[in-house]
Amino acid sequence: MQRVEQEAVQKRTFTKWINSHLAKHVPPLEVKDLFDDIKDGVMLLALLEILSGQKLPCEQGKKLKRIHWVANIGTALKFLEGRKVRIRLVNINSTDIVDGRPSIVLGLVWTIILYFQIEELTSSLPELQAFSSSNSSLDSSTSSTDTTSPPVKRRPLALQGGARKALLRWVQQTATKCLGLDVKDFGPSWRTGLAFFAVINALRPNLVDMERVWRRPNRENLQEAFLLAETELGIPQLLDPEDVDVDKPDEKSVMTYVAQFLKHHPDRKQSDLEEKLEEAVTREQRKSQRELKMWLDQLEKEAVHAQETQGSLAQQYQLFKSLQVQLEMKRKQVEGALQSTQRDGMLTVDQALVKQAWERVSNRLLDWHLHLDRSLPAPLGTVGEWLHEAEGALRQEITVQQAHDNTASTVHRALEQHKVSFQQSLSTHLRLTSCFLKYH
Amino acid sequence: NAKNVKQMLLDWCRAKTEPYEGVDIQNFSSSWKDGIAFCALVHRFYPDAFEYSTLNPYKPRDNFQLAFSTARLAGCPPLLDAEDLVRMKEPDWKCVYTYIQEFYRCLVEKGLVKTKKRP
Repeated sequence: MQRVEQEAVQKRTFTKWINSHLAKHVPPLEVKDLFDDIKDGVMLLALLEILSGQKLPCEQGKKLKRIHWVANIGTALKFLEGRKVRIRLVNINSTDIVDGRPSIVLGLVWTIILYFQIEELTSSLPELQAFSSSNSSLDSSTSSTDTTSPPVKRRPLALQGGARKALLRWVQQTATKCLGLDVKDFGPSWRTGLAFFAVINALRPNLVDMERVWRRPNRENLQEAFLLAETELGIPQLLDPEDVDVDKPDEKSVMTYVAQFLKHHPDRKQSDLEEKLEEAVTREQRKSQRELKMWLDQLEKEAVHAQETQGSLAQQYQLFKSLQVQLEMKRKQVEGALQSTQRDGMLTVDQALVKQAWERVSNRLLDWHLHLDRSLPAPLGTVGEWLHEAEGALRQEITVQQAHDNTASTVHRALEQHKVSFQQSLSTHLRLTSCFLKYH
Repeated sequence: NAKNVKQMLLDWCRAKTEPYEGVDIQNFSSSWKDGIAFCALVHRFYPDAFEYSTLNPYKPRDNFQLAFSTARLAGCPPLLDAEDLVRMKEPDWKCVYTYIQEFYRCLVEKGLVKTKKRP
């Protein structure tokens, strides 16, 4: 009885692990029942492709027969056995997997989890090794400072190599190289605004006097470039000069903006390459928007689950706080995703779905917070209520940027400031409440 | 080699949770049963997410939920089910190992763990 239960638990865990990796596949894949879905080898090969980064031959299609399944599984097993870190597949035959035999399937997945990640884990050897050789007296490198200090190099956002590289190359070849500008990223290289002028210049040669802009302050250049792009090329002002005139401008935002230049030049016929490029960038954006929506939906599910938990008020507050923190950390990404790239300021379907999902989960958390505060003994309960009523007008709304409307952005900024001060008083309130609950 | 990696990951867990009371990680099963070990490990990297000192070892379900939910900040998906962990006499060590390894991998990706490739 215990083995059956253990098998069920492992099946659930391993399935979730597999799906967390298959979600990265294009298109994303999902295993519903591990023992069924593994039989034809298609998902298995997709998983191995994601994990290894290598392409594997796979028999696919509607007319697959058992013989194709066996071939696929065979490909997978052979691949595993040929890895740099030798993976021993004892007692695992292709036919067992094709038959969906639970213990064998679980054994195979476990083997993949264990051995496959060895390469990745051992590349982190120094970090791990420091602890296997040391005893209980730990040196300062394991104190809390190493976890809270920021990483030395900030990785650029995980954009798919393909579209990003191609867009960069397009910028270099059509616009910046001929002017002697060195653009090697979508970040600091754009700070001076010169690169933007170069792109505009490439599309409308007589529009920009490059001599004039070389020595001007960054902000001026950026402002003028964005305005020029809007009035002459119809490109909505997605970026704020003050967000670009920094040491590390947000690469994803800059890339999104530059990509607009691909489609918004009315006089020019787009080359095949440019069309393909634009499609690739759009695909990526839609993919990340969908992933964002899924993340928000998942958080909402957790919030629902958490609200149903029985427990002391203190524990419920902990749960609430941890979910709230996660939501806040996603805010900037959501705001970025909801920037309209259309002339009329409308959102795409994917963007609208993200907005809905955001509003759903943040309203749920707000309601939960209100409920928790009301459950506090007086006088804290009444203080909480007052704060919530006052904040009611400013429900955690993400204001969609009206691309062509300057006044809207001024209002937006004012709202943001309001929100910040409210959030500050709210977090003070939260801290007070947590302290109170600690001692009761 | 697999055994070495398992031991190394275990030692890493022990080192990261050493400052925390109520945690003694000896394996990937019973040591994690009350959920406090998960909370300590996650709290080590996200100390602002919750108050460790208020946790109750007799409320394992709450502890698992809190830990897994917070671990999502690292991008780590909740691979383990709190109900499964509570129902069985001891957590299944392969499942715990799978989760810890995934958590570690996510931390590396976020740059919260220094490695050979990213000092």
